[in-house]
Amino acid sequence: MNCDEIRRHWNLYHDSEGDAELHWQISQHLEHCIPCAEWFAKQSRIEDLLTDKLREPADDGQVWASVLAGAGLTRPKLARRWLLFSTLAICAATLMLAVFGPWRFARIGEHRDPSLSALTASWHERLSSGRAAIPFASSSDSEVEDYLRNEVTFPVRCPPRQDSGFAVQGAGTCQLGSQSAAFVVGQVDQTPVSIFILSRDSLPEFPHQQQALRTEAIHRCREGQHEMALSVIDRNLVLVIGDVSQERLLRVLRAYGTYPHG
Amino acid sequence: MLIDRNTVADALQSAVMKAFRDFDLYAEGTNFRAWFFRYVNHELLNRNRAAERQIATESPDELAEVVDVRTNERAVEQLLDSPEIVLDLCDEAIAEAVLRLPDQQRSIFLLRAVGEFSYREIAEILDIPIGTVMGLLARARERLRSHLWEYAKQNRLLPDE
Repeated sequence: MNCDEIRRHWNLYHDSEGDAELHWQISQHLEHCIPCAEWFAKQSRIEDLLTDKLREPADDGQVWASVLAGAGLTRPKLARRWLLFSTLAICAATLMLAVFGPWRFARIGEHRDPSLSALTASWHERLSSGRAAIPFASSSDSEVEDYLRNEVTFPVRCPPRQDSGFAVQGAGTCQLGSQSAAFVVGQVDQTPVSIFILSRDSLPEFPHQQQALRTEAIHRCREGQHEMALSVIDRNLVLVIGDVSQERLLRVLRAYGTYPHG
Repeated sequence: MLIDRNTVADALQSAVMKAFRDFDLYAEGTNFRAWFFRYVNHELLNRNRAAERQIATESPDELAEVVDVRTNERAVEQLLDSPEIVLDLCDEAIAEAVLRLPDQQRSIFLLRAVGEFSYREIAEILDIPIGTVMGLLARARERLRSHLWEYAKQNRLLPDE
């Protein structure tokens, strides 16, 4: 298949529909065709962001309670009815999101739940592609640390290369939601990797990540094609992102936590 | 999916009661979500029929818009380059874009995006061929992007070309 034909099948590929042969052909093409790989990533990215927006939980508890009460579905007597009762609840949550999801956005100015993973993935893409400038360029982790100490109000550091395999190239600051953040850019195995550092006090701004970090010390996830690892280390919330294996990211994250803040 | 959002609870309640009434017809081991959503869909269709007389449905202008989507492809690239800038700031536009989709496209898009139903499940729920699901979903996505791009352009959320 040529590029046009491959791109015509993006919907199927994105939705994991179609047969295995088609997916294999597309995967093979994407491995060798950078423009198509980038095109697919962009398409999936906006779709994922849009979907995330639409899936933000709606306040549907009261409505659903009244639905069940009105339908006379209290405590089912037959075992088979439990299937209906429990599955209805799951269906209802989906339905309420579908019904209420789009309309709740009209209430601008109310609570927002920014996705830290989406925000950092966007910054990582812009930094690694050169679309965003890196304010301070240096291959020295101590110089990067000194620079960032003057730029942000919270403590921050740069993991040393011998521990992390992370070859630092520069640093800067950015806004993630309403929070100030520092970033350190570099490479692991010649692949761009970015480290985003925030004050740990900023965690409540990102409820999804906050919830995840309640149950796991290191939260690993994927945003588009990027792998991510996130943890609270001392007084920082640290997120490492790049197109390398999770093991590589974890090594960087652990190296960040090796030395206490001075 | 429901034009008059004030009737959400009523519509759900009615769908639940009908599904409950017909529960003996459900074949155990088959897809319960899809089975139940057929009742929801029928209920919504019935209610929307009454409400849609008051609201403009798909017009020739909307059909023309599909052509615009294709010619706008290069412009929409701008949106694809920096989607976060737009999506973080235009909740209202997303809602409006979804609402402006024709009924069936909106149902298919929401069942896929929010309900995470497969194409086959959506086809079962809406009682339409799976090929129609594929075609209308692709068209709905194009329309949404085009609408968001237009919104972003009008509100200067994107860099100038």
